[in-house]
Amino acid sequence: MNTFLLLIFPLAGFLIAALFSAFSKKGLVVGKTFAFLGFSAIVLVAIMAKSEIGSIIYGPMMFGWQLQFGLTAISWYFALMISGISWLTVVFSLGALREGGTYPMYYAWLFAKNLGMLGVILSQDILAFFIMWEFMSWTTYFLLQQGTKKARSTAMGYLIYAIIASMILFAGIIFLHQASGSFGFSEIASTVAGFDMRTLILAAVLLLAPMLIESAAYPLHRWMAPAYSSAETGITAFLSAISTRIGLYGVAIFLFTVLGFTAMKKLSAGHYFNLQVVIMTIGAFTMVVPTFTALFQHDAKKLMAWHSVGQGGYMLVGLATATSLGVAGGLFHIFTYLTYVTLILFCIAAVEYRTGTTNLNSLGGLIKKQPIAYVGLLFGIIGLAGIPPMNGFVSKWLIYRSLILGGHPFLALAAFIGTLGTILSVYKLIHNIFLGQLPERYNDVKEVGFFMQLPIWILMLVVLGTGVFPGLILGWVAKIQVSLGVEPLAVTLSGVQASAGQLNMNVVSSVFGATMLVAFIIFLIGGRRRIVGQYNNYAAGHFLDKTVKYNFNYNFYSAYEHIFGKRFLNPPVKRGEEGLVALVERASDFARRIYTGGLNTYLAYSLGAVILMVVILKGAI
Amino acid sequence: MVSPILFIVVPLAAAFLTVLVNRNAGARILALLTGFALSALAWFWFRADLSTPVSVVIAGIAPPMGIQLSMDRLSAALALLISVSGFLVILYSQSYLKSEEAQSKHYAVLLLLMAASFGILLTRDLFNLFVFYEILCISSYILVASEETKASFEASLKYLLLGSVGSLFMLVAIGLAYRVSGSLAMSDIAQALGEADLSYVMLTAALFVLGMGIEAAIFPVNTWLPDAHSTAPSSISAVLSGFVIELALIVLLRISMTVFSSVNLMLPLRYMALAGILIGELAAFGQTELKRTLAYSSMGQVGLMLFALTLGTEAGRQAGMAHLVMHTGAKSILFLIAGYFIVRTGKRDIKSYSGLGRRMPLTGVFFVIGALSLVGVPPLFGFFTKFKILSAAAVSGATGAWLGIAVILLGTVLEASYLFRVVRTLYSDPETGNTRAVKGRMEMDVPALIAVFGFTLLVIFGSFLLPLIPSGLAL
Repeated sequence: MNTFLLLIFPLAGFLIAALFSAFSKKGLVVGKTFAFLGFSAIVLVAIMAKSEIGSIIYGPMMFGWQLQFGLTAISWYFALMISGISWLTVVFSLGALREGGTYPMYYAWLFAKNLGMLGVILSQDILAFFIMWEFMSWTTYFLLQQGTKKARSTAMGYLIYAIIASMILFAGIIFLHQASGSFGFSEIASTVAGFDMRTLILAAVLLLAPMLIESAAYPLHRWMAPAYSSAETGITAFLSAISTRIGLYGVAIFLFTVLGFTAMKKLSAGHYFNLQVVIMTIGAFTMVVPTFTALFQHDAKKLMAWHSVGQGGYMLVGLATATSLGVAGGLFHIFTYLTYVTLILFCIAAVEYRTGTTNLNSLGGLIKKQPIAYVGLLFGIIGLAGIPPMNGFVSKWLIYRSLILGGHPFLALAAFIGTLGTILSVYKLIHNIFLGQLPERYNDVKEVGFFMQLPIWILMLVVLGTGVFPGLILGWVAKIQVSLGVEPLAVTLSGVQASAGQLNMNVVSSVFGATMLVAFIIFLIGGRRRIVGQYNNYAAGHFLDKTVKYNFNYNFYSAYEHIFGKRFLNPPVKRGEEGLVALVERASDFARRIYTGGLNTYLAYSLGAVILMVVILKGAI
Repeated sequence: MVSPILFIVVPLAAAFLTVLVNRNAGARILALLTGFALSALAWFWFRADLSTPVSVVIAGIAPPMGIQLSMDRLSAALALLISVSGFLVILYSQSYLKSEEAQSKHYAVLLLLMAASFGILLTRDLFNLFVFYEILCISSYILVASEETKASFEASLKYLLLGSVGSLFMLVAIGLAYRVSGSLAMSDIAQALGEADLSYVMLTAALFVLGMGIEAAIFPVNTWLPDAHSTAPSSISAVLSGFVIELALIVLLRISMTVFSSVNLMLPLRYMALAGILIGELAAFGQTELKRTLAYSSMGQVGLMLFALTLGTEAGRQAGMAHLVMHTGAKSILFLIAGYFIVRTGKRDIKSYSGLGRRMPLTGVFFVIGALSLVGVPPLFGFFTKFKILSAAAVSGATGAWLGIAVILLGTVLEASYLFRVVRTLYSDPETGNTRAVKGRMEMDVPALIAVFGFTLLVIFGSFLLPLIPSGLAL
């Protein structure tokens, strides 16, 4: 029943919110209240649905097949994340959303997007999966359009990628249905097991390529950062946190359930080259390239959107290791990234709410004006950089460890390089927004109100709490591993107790805290400190008084950008994308020229067609 | 028992009566009533038990000399589609043609076109087919030219010349067929051609298929279409794209499968269909005018239907028929709305429609639904038909089936990108230079809204009609 409600509530919410916004232009308060109640109900239903894991509900008949929906361990994990983040986004929007602008269809599409995502993860056959997948892609497109003026063209970019993904998946489903005569996961899996190499490669490409497009894996990632960053900031957070991860859900389902993990190894040419290596290499590029692209962004939302691409690489690599540690790391990283990216983007949104901008070149010095946003961002970037005691450390530790133990030194190196880029860029983020001198125009900036603070507080608690007690989440991740057929991770409340590695986060956090404390005490008793004002300048011997503002923020990392920037800001992938567009345009131009408008040509076509047809008919005998 | 001949007699009589009345108001009401009556008639036949086709012989002269009409399930379903969409288009025209001076002429020719359409559908002898085909073509030429602009005259003239070529091909083919069979009834010809020399049949078939194919807009003889469908009044574009080309396509298919069954026409037609999809969608992608885009898109869609119908399996034919019904709904929505965009802005290119979606909220939603269905997004009708086509292709084992699947999916990507480029413009901020950029709503008039809503219902709930759509192409 709850599984059913998990689909019905967002559907009803979508219809009611859409109708409401069609007939009422000024119902912001009513709309917000409705959305709050609706998403609270969805969260409650998602939590209660735990007891229904394993049971199947049947949807309508379609093409002689009864659609199946139901919860599994992994889909419950995703259902909680989807509904939880949606709820936080709605709570945040209670404060952040103003009359006009992106309202009125904001909540309607948020409900619809929830329906699409929940539908995908609840699907227990490939037809339902595809239908909900298409629905999800289209609602994402409509949701993205709700943003700034620029959003409409970037949403178009998303749409084209998403349609290509959908069409590849469409071909895959047609192909697998033709081969197996069924849409059920298990029937298809048993058919796939009997495939020869070429068919298997085809099946793997048709199923995995769309998932990799949706999860923005390199080099199919270029749609994501522009599209997400031009959406409304709350939506950017929501989308970065969970939307693309549905692609990873698909990777997990198709790799472990449909294709079967043995297929991955079977698909090999020589000793070193198999499907696993391909996916891992894609993951490695995704970890490194987008992260360094993020470094050179001058817009906070864009910077984070590029990180959302990059961090997906860690998850993908983790899943593809197919070891107990790696899969746990990948799955847990989905959760940890979700928490701190939402936290960071909510803090950015809080700053944007007051200052009206997310431009890193013009912000600065807001630490005293918006201290809560500052602390929230600090928590978030510690998590993102993978430093204890936040939860990001645990998931990255699992992934690093699985790579090192699995004998993938180059992947581990890529992961470390990615982390280096992450640390550099998050430093830029916090420095350019909160540190340095406050520009005069922001003298009147205040902290945001209760509804925008509440999600920030909650997320800070989660980022720290699940960092110190990772077992809270890892316990369930181990259950997912069982259902995927991977050896489960031995988990305790405070960390990992596996033979492959042990981690006690209580100890790590205590040591970390104690070290900080000792450093602080040394700092206090050292005595060599002078408290200066925010406007006190020091410029290497130059004398600057308080009236001169010294802005370090402008073109932060310009030296790096000068050296490396071109490679990351104008990469070959971009040129490839542009080349493809040009090719389609030329083909279109060619097609258009067939219709010359001249009657002579048209008459020639008609006669030519008759002759050609007779020739073909003759030849066919 | 109601005779099927009423389908031809009623609109024909109404057309003459309309000319006699010669008053705008009178013509409007008469056309509307006729449309309604035909829909009711078609509904009766659609509900009737047609497990054995009902034949009537005109004026008591038996075939091969007399005229034979036959009503089977396929014809009944198509008749319902034609009459209902004709009725909705007439309803739309009530407001769309408001400022037109000679409305009675317009309605009279439209009714004539409908009479010819029913005739093509019902007749069972080749010469009558030719006669109705000519009536259909001539009334189309007139309707295309009815805006009386330079562009529409040019389009109509091209259409006329190419249509005449088509008629010529058909006439020669009919002559060749008559030479061996000595009869004009389709069943006799089928029998005679089955025993004739194969090369002879091939030439006859090629001439007939490409002659009829000009009206059915199959590639490469669809050259007249982009001009004609884009310069015609939008109500007429909806009719032409909505059911005229589809009707010609079905009749073409039926005759190739029954009369010319001794040669394998399906193979060349399938490849022509694929080329049509690719060329049509690519050309549509590069257009800047909305109606031209839609016209090229129709060429792609005809290719899609033709591909499904030529797969040679029951499932393929059913999928093709279903897609035909869907296309009638979706393309009519888009053309009818495009008409109002032109009325409201006075311009034809897409970029001058910026912000219209906000000022015509309901119209905008209908447009998006139509576009989504054409692309094939669940849960709309278009998804079901596209899925059926692809899965029919996959199981058919026909030559080029997998190539076809790839082409169709590629075409869908193109289609989505150009249709949603339009949607993006509709919901972008209005340009300041827009000549009629006045504040406030400018929704379509009520009759037009109702008509478009009718088609919208079809594309939303069409999937429930799937079991009712027949697939038999027998005579």
